[in-house]
Amino acid sequence: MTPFLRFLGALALIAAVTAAGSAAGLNPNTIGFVYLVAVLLISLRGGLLIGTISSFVATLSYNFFFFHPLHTLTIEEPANWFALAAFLIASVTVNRLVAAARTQAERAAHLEALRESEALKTSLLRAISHDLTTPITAMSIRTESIRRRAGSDTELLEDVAAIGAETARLRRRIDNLLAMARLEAGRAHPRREPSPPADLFRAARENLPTVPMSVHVDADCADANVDPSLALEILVNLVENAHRVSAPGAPVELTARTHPDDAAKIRIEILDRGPGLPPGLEMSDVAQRGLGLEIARSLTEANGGTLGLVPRSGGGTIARVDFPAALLPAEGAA
Amino acid sequence: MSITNVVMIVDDDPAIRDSLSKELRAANYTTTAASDGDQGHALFQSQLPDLVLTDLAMPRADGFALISAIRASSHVPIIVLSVRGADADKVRALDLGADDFVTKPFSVTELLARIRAQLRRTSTPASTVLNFPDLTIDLGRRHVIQDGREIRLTPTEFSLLELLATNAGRPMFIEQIIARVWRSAPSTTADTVRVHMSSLRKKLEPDPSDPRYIVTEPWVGYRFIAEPA
Repeated sequence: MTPFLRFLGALALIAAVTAAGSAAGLNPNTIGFVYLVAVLLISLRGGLLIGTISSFVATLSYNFFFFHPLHTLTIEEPANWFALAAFLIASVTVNRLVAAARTQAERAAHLEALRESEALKTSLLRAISHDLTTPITAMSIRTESIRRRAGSDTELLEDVAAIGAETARLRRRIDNLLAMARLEAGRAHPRREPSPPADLFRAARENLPTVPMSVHVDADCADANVDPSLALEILVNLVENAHRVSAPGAPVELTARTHPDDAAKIRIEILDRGPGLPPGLEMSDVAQRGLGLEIARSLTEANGGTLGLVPRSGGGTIARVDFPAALLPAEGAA
Repeated sequence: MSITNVVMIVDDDPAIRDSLSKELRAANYTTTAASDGDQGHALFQSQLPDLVLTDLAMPRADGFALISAIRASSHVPIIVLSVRGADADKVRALDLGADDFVTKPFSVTELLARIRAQLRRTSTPASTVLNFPDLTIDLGRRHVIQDGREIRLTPTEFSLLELLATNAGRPMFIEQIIARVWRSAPSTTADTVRVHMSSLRKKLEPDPSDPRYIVTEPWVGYRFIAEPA
């Protein structure tokens, strides 16, 4: 129903109450309550504006048709002034209360709808993750099976290794798409906890078994206060990028140490000896650096960190990730 | 002919069931398979397998329901096949009584190591000297030798190492560690465990940048990763 139709409906209802009240010869006190009920109904259906206008229309009708002298807007008895004023105040208040209750109900419904769509996205993402990962798992199990039985057939072993590498590549693409979808769905709420860089590096190596890496963690480097599975996603993407531009067999270097200027942060660097950054390339040039870098940047920021690319002296690029540190309480505190 | 262990595989995907069954049989396990939680529970009661491998997302009764149903009557080792990005599910499964998890897509080698770790718990008699690659832990004399050098540990560090190494290959919850090493002393927090674990790892690991023995297990606690020599 349009607001105009609702307004006409409101006027019709007041007219009906007035006509019925006059015909039945109701006394002015009783008709006041009937008007109030009418205004309440109008407010419930029509909203604050129509409700408020109806309050004034009802007040005028009340005066015009039921207070002496009838059919004038003048008032004889001073007491009727009080009755009219009280009616107006009551009906306007009813309007405001109804409007406040309606806003609250709408907000609650909106929140509920949001929650439902969040839950839907969550379960949808989980289902997609499961459905995409399952065939890849079956493929990699079969691949391992062939490798086990290949014996010393080098040609077969080479093919199997290639299938294995491609399967892993497909898996990482899917991981990235899912990570992106989780970010989009607002689901990548990091669950941060103290994560030792050495353990993150180890997980990265397990995820990229064919990429040569050399790792170093400073002895006094604190743990990172990050979501470990998102941090792994970040590292895997940056290492893959670095590996792609490196000479065959050249290791990607990973280092972790306390941030040089801020002891409350740790700095993780992924270093390569590739051709380096093209001049003028900005972090935001996603198309040039690939989806992996964009995902790494979004995930780093979601973890309260920053990601930058800097040229490496002697050639190559450094991907520099600064994470908040999870400092240990003083030794012996227990 | 030696006795083999029976592993039950519960997954709604036939490709996973078939390929896993084949690889487990090649590794000398007997296998049995079900496609959902209800079927899995019925099969569990009739076959009493030595270990259960279960997916979590399945039609009808899912993996969570299956774990609860099995745990109502049995301590059999349960390993969960979880997927990436569903860490909350993984932790929930462990809370319900699962013993370990692998994340799809996992390698068969990794899965076999996890299975061995779980079966060791039920089969190996308690020994007072634990041997790992380049590491010997003498529980009686409370001595640790790493690659020929003796490592001096505080009593707390030794207890931590003992707890993790006697459960080699299995994830240990922070709460389990606090209950066993600190006897649930009220002031003990996850940070207390971190402080002692960090200094234990510094003493134990020959290359702290590349841990060989102890790693953190996200949202769970710690895992001793070396396999008994």
